[in-house]
Amino acid sequence: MLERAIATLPTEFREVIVLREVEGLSYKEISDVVGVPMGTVMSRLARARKRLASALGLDVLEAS
Amino acid sequence: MRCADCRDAVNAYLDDELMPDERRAMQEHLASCDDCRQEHDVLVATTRKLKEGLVRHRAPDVLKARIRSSLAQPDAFAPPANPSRRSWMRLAAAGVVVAVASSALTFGAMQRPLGQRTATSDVLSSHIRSLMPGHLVDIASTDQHNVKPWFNGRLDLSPAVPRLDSLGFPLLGGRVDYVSGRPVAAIVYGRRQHVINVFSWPATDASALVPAASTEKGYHLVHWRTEGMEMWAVSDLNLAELRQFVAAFALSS
Repeated sequence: MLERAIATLPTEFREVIVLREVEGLSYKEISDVVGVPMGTVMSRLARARKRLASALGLDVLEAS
Repeated sequence: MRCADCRDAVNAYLDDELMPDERRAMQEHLASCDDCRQEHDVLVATTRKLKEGLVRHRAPDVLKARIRSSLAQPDAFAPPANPSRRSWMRLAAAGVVVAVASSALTFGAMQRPLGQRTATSDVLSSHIRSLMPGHLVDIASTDQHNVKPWFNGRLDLSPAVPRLDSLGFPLLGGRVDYVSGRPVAAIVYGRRQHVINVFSWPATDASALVPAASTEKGYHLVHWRTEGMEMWAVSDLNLAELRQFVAAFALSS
């Protein structure tokens, strides 16, 4: 379930995901709002998405 | 481009953060590499599911992230005319056609409930009534440990009573008030000679709402919804400071 998967994310991962997916902020804007370097933003986003893909079972798609 | 580079850049590619030549290199690589294209497709599916689910997500810290993000804009808490405008324009510029009816992006614009205007004028009436002599507080105390428990047995909800003195918003007390005939909690704060009423009552809709400001008869009202509670802050205090107050209040728990 998506809700549970999101709830298990650490706060700092959830924060960047929301700012990116819901608010549509750029990496630079997220970096300004959260107050961490852009590299950290990108790393958190990538890791959060990877975790969610796995939690949602999306990372075992059949190759077409 | 090697697969390792592609993997590093795939998120930025999806978020349209790459330079044109990097983007082109990615497109070429994805066209010819099945493994990387699969990773890319997984990412697309994941972010699509995220967008759909997050807008409805009820967790308080999701709302707080949105409040923090809206505070970074110069017109914080302005009612969203078109919340998807920025991402829509970026996508349109990239020549990508997007179904604007996509649920997640337009959900924010459709969140204003029917009867919003009625709630606004009722909340304002309660605020103005409270300014009459002797009507402001039933429990006059600057201690939230007196104010919060006072509502036990008087109201079927326990209101949030954060301490905001250090930010220049002293607690003045609380009372039970009525909005649209329903008993609600009113927590009273001060700012210089201004009174701020924070009304709260249980919401029928469980989804969260970021703060939205409006003005009526010279008073400013900010409305938000969190953790199943409708929240209204009303004051004749200027909107800039009222926004600060609401942000501090909403982020305090």
